[in-house]
Amino acid sequence: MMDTFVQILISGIALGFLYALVSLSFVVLLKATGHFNLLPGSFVLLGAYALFQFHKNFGIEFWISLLLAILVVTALGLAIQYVIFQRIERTADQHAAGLAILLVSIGLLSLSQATAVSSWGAEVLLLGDPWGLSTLRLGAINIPVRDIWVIILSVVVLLVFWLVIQHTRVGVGMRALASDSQAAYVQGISPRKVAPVAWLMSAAAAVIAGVLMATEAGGGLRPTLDVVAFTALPALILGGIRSLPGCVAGGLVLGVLQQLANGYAPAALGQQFATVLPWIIMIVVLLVRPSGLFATREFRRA
Amino acid sequence: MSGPLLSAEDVTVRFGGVTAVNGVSFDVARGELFAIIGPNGAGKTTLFNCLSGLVKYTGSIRFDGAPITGRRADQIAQVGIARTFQNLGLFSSMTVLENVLVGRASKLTAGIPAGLLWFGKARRQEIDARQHAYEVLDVMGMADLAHTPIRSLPYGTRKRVELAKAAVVAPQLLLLDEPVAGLNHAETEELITAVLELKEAMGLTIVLIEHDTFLVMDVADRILALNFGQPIGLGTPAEIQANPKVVEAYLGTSAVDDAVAVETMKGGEG
Repeated sequence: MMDTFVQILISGIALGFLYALVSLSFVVLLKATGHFNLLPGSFVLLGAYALFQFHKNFGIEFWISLLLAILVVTALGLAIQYVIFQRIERTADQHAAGLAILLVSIGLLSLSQATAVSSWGAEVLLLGDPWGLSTLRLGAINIPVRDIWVIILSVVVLLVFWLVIQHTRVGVGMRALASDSQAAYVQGISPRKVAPVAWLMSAAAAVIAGVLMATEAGGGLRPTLDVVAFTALPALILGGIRSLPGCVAGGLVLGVLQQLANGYAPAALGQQFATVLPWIIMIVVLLVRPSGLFATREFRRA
Repeated sequence: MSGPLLSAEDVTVRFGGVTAVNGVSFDVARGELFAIIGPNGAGKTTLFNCLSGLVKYTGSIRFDGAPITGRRADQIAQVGIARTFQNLGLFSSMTVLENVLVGRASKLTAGIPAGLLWFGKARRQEIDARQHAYEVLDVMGMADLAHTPIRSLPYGTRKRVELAKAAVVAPQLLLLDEPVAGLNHAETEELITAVLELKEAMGLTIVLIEHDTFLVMDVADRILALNFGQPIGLGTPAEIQANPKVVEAYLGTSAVDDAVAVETMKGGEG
């Protein structure tokens, strides 16, 4: 009984960190560009396919392929930022620009799905088993090694992000821009210098999450991987949309609850109950606390 | 170098059909405390936004002889123009020290890896920046607040933090947008003393937007008066007080006798 519970808890934590990574990808972009967009979905998808291309088709070492995939996705993101988003921002007013950017990102999302299908086909591709399929036995508890990798990689990414944001000048600039962009500009912070780092961070989090999702046991690389990425949106909302620690907390809460529902929810609730549970929680949270459970509060005198 | 530090020529800003600033020209000499006054909606803050590169305008602005028209806000900050905001431009989740250091961050040249690993140039620059920040905070009597987050500070103290944040980059020109708005009498005196001390110590040139005309008459060397985006007077405090257009803009003429209005303006706080 207890063993099953611990096992479920650990797989919930692993799932939660995946949610946290994808949410981080959204939040970093939102903070750096000032507008919410759905590009992290494309990043998850194209990053995983890029890794497949480098690793399986070109035969490059797995870790180097991962690095290359992150760089390719970053370059793509920056191109979109400079060619499309910045033009929209320059010509449209603040409110219209936000909506336009969101809609453009939805368009780009289906474009990247189509690109994946036409370049790599619609069937499920296997990335191999970079983490191994073995499980770690601790007494009666079985932990898949992949889950341990998920947790290790996520913690490393989160730690690096935290250090960059808290302790580098780019990080300070990022926080300043997110808090009050005009005040940041007149302090000499250039969004042009901050943006590449933010896109790199967003791409890294999304690509790593995508690769981890695509190497799940029984999973694989498919053109609908971006849809899987959107299951992280409730974690983002729960975390308050703009808060980085909120992403981690929201992700972990939802990951664990979802796996608990997977393990213990009565069959009467239906097979898909665990899948929809995060969305139900999200709606309830929005009704009770519209700013999310871990929202960062900002002060501004009218 | 001689010549004015700042010179604006025929600056005009239109938002849709509204002309917020209309053909404003002025020079600010080195070491001067230059004030911009005018009723609400006169275009004072919009004019500041032109000076710091936050809005587009026609006309030209030169700083230290070089044109800065069309430059981005962060580039203008780099040439030595710092400013404060009427509604506070502070980063509320950060501490006082972090806020003050943001401006210095743009002057650090070490890269991210060095910054992360805290070695060499990054470390030296960071230590220098912090020392300098503490010096400025010390002058303003706020060194003990260095690690307090902005959001837990009272409004008057936040205003002083913002002044410190603008001053710490050692600008040549400091733009202050209603620095004492919302402050009580004691806080106002404290802040103005700090401004004058910083000006003296750092050899600053200051452009000040202020609502409180009595205060302006007291501290400014010269004054530009705006109304509905139009310049209506430029001169010494005495000249501005004697300017009928300024008096009219502030008090209206229909009901009030001009002489009374002038007396009111001269009256000061006593």
